[in-house]
Amino acid sequence: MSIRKILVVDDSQTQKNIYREILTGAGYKVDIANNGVEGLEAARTIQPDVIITDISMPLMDGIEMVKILKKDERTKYIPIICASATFQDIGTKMKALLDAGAEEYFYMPQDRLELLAKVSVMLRIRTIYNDLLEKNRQLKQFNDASVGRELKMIELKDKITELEKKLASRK
Amino acid sequence: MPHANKAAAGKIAFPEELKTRLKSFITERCGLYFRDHDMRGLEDALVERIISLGMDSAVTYYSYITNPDHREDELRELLNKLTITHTYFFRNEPQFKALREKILPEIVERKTHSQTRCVNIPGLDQASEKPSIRIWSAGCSTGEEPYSIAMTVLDVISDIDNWDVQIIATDASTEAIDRARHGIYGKTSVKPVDRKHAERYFTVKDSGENGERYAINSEVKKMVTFGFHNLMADDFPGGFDIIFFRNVAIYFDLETTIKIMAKMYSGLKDSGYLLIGYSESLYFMQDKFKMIDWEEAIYYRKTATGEEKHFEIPISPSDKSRTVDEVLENISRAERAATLEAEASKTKPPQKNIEELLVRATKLYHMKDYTKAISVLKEAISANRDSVDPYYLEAQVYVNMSKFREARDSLAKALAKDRMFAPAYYLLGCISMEESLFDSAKESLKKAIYINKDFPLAHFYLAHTYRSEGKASDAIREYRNAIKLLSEAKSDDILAYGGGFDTAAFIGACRDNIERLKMEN
Repeated sequence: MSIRKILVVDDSQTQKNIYREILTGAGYKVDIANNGVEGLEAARTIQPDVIITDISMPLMDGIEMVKILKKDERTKYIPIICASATFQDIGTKMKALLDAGAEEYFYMPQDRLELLAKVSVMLRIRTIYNDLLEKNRQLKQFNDASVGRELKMIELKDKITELEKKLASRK
Repeated sequence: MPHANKAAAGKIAFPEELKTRLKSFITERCGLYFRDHDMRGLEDALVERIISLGMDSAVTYYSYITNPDHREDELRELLNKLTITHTYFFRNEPQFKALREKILPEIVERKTHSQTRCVNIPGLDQASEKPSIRIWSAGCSTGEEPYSIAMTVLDVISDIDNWDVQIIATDASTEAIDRARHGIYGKTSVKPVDRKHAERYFTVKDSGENGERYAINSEVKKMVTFGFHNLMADDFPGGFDIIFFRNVAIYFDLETTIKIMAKMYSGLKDSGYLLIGYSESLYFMQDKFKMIDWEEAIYYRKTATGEEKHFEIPISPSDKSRTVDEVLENISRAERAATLEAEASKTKPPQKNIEELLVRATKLYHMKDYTKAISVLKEAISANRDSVDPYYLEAQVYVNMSKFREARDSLAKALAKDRMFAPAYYLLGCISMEESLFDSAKESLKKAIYINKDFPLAHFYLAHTYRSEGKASDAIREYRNAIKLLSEAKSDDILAYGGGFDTAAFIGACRDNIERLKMEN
């Protein structure tokens, strides 16, 4: 399997550095975006396998970004983990994120192995999404093909009828 | 390897298991890492050492090198064989520039001045009272460093005959000293020498199969006195104006290095200069030296005795019986006392105000209310212009806002208040990394380590920088350094500047990255 790509969206310099080291160490390719706006752009162009995002960030926060990502055909099947330090109202924020379509969340103080475990669960989801998308594509192709065949049949039948008519009229 | 030994070399059995153990022993002790294709070189060096020691098996050698009685000496011998090619003339050019343009001119000026006064004393024998300069190249290896020093001295002092210049160069490897005395070098080590020096101080010898060889001229050679000296020995030369102690400490463990640094301090005259390499650190002695950060170079100057209040480090011969732990304990106790005293004298009423403001700003920072955090910090700065903390926090806020120029400004101000504020260099390094300026990132991170050797995150990000440049073995070394420092903390400690992860997370990340780098290379 090719190297899996993870996009980290976080404004905190210390935070994103440690994410990068942990994830690179685990063999992932890591890209970094500094806020929601950059995150959107990066998600579209890089097509990561998983996104890890902070909640509050300048320019565009995590909730806003997740909402947009999950509405966009190009990015809606990328699993998202929301990560944050605990603060007041965190429960409400996390609920809002899950409602917006994020798949997973976790709080600080964070545990490296937990993070890696959650990432690999998300990658499984990504694989399932990918498989599903692929199957859908195949199904559609098949469908299109069978529809096409049916049309051809109808067309041929018409021709046969027409020929039969012609034959009948010659007699 | 000499031909005569080739037959003997074949007889040394080298079980794989032992090779692995020796490899990891060296890596653990010195952070030198061997990739598969380096193993051949390591093996050759090991065999060579085994033969020189008159041993007949690798097992005997393993128990010899791991024995604390000769561990350091032997490691050094071995590493000399392994690292000998890394030495070259004018290594760390910025430091030589500082020697040429700052250090030597200052010494010459000072000594000429005092000499004039001496001459005025009636009846003094002028001939025997030439002003003297004593320089020590400690751990001189094959002589490139002391000869570079000699050439620099000749650049600066035109009337060399009127001076008594002693350059003492020592090493614990007799083989290295023999080669240094010989003074004949290959193309690679002479390559950094500029044309002017090359033409003036070297003679080209053509020795056939080995390509061109360069012999150092007698004018330079006669200025340097080589000698055997083990830095761990109790007798230590003294009275130096300048000491070079560069890229030697990697061979020693922490305790030994601390002892050596304390002896270096004693061996320097008041206001003497100390030039150390990036692998060296001042260890607990920051207040005994003044750091001079000139252009690209960093060097240190001993603060004159009595000029500044500082704690005493026990290093006299009577302390010989002390264990390393006791010495360390003494040092840290003295250091703690000095810190407490300094803190007590600092506490003044306005300080309280700034502390409150800092707490508020920190909260806002964590809540990501950056604009408000900045305005509170501006208030803190105007409340107390001497504190570095608000500037540092301000820089952190700017970094998170991706406002790197502003962050650099804040850090410059913090450093103007305190040149020894290691976190500022650390953050500068992080900023440079964000901007993909790898060289300046490394420079800043190394400065942070220079000042505070106990800064695991600086090693951590230095490793990242090396990895970004594709320098796997350097990266691995720095990950190891980080692990070493991190292991000293409790594993569930939340690390300062660590972004909410505990030390175990950092250690795990380091280990993973080392494994990955090994796999990839």
